[in-house]
Amino acid sequence: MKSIALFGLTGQGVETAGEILSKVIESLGYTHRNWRDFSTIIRGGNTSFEIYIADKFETESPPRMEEIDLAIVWTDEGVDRYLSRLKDKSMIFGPNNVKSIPSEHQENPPKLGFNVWSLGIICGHLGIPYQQVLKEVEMKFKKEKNTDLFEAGYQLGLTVLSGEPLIDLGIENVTISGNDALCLGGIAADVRYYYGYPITPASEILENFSKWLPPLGGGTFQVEDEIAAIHAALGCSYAGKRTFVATSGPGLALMTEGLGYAAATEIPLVLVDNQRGGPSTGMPTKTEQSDLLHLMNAGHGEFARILLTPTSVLDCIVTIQEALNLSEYYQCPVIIALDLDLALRKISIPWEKVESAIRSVEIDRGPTILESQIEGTYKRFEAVGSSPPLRTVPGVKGGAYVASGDEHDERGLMEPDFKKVRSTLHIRRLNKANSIRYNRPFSTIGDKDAPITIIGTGAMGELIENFVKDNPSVYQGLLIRQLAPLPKEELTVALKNSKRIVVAEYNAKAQIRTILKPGLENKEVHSLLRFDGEHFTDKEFNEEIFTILNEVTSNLTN
Amino acid sequence: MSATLTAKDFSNGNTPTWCPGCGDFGVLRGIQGALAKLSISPENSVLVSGIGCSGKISHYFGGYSIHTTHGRTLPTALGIKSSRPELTVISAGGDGDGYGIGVGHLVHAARRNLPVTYIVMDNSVYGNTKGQTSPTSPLGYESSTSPEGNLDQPINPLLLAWSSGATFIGQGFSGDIKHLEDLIIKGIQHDGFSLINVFSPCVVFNKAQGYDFYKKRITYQDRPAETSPEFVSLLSENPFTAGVLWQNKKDTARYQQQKVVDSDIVSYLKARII
Repeated sequence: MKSIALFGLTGQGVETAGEILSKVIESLGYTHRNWRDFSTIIRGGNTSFEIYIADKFETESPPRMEEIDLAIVWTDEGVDRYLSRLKDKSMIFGPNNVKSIPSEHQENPPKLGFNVWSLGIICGHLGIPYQQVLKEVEMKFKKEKNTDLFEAGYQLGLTVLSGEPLIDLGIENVTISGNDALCLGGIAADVRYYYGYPITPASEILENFSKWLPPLGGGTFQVEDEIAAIHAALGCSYAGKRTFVATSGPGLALMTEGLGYAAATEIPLVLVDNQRGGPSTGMPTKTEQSDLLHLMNAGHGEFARILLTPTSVLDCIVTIQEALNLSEYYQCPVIIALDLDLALRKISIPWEKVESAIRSVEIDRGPTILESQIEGTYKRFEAVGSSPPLRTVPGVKGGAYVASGDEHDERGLMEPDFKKVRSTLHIRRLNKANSIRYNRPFSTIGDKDAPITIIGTGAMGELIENFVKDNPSVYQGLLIRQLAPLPKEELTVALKNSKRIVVAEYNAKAQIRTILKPGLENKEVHSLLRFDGEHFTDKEFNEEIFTILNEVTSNLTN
Repeated sequence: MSATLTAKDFSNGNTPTWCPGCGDFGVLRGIQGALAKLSISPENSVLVSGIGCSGKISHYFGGYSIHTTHGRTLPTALGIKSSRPELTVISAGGDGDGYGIGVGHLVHAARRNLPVTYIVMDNSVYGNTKGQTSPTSPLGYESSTSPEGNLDQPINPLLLAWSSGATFIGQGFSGDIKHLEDLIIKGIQHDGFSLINVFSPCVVFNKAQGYDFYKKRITYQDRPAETSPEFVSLLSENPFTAGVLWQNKKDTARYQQQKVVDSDIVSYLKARII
């Protein structure tokens, strides 16, 4: 395992250097994970890039790691950030004027060029063949000066050559983020149109689709606001085509209008919320899991909804496909909640794992009638026994109906006998997703009979997995994939032998714990909460969990 | 496609609950007649309506229809038309819906030349909520929300749409169904965004602007303006000018995207990320 950090100012191309590095390591076939800390200041704010490279032939991407093997920093602030995290305090590089850096690790790169120089050091240290990276550098940065800077950095990096230089493993790796994963799964599930409004951290989805959908005969529209986005998505879905909307907190506030409308009209809708620090504009570039209680209840009036929470980048590929199937079967809003870290984190893993996630879900359009002609009087909102109603789409002869947000009868017509429809149609709509076909409401790691269970989801998934992996007989990890409807029975069974439970989440009010409460009865439950916008490193997370558990133990012995 | 379609084929048999004399009856008849004359089958036509009395129009329509939230007909129509370009999509709503709460969408639908016919039933009042001032109520208009008279300059929807790049702008009157039907036919035939503002009287809450008010003022224009100054002067001379007032051509190719990929979808996705 190798971990490297690069710290500079926004506008210095730190991210670009990170991307090149990641690409080169990807081409060698090493599984790795990137972490980015970026500022809302476009030029001149602090920014850092960390990369954690797994041992050769390891296919699980590592979590965010505390210990750093090599750090390259532009300012004193970078030293403050990274010196304490270095395994070997001398493994820090930077310009001449920066404190605490060994003089033999100092040079004088220009402000715009620091990134290429740093890239050289890293590649030299990792023993990546010079020509391989140079090709990438020359492709990205045309000027000759950059080649010289890279060369200088590379020579400096060779002075601290790693004991086990990277080699070409011959494995076909790909690098994707949670947002990329949603796009891959979406296209596999037949999404061809997308309507979006730029917002951090969901813009990547609109950007990806703008490139990826037109060759497939589809396309994207950058609409005027999130109200337009969700209504366009509803129009597309009404017309029988698959789509979804993605946003973050402030956009979610606007989309709430469409959420209730989708419920009333029973138009299938999938909404992705990449949660960031709130309330209001909040912390646009920082992670949080603080919209969950809102998502459980968002919208006026009462209606059924499904709330899913992917637990890893690969799980995003699967979840979006499942969500599109569920939305067409149950004809209610299906919400997918990610958090900023999961949406933006980039992992590099073997393509075959991505492919198997893409292929893991079959398209199932449920009771949607796309072609055949309807005989007799069609009642769009009449249930078929205990199954959901049949849904026609424009073009189907005899299937015309009105989809209305006004309360309506079984044909869809407004101004019905309210007393009658509220006791029939409204009740059906309220209860239609009380239990759903969903095979994995959570994934389980470790020993099912372990006395202690750590629960979490989203970005927390990799940390729980890493924690449990070290001691699987003592700990069980439950990575929650479905918050609504609450998988209460499954939870009760999974927690049968667990006496102590820690729910780890990125918010101040223990929202996941609150939602799961009915499934946690008679347990000793503790919360690990964080809401400063930062994602734990492995070490931070492990220590927090141990502190909580030790407190529990000492309380018990007292 | 049937050559024998009539307006009746575009009715779902549901009896309208509009007030007797409501202008919206005329608009419904105009839409139904236009679609029948164009031989567009009901199952291939979609009517998107907003909120307010005018929004109820979709409940009487015999094709597919979608009664959206307040002001959101155009984004909804965008989703339908962009994903199913072969469908005929008509948006219909009131002045509060389209020029008040939804006015932002009008600007953007016009600038992206969305191939949808947008019919606004303009009665200069909020009828469904019992008579409040609307974005097209004249200055001095007295209502429960402007008891001392309306102080806000009424919006000029035709100039707004025009300056936003609308490629078809027409104006009609629900008291002249024949003219209106013809206008809607031209709007549907237009390749691009068409706005048709229809004076559609509210005989209960805006008695001052009833059928006679419009009959006295409307003048008919038999061809679109050829230049920008001509268009602006047409409307400055008489805001009640009826007919196709502006029409030009802009590209709509983005709504007819062709598939160019032959590979299976997994290989396609792999090529995007490798």
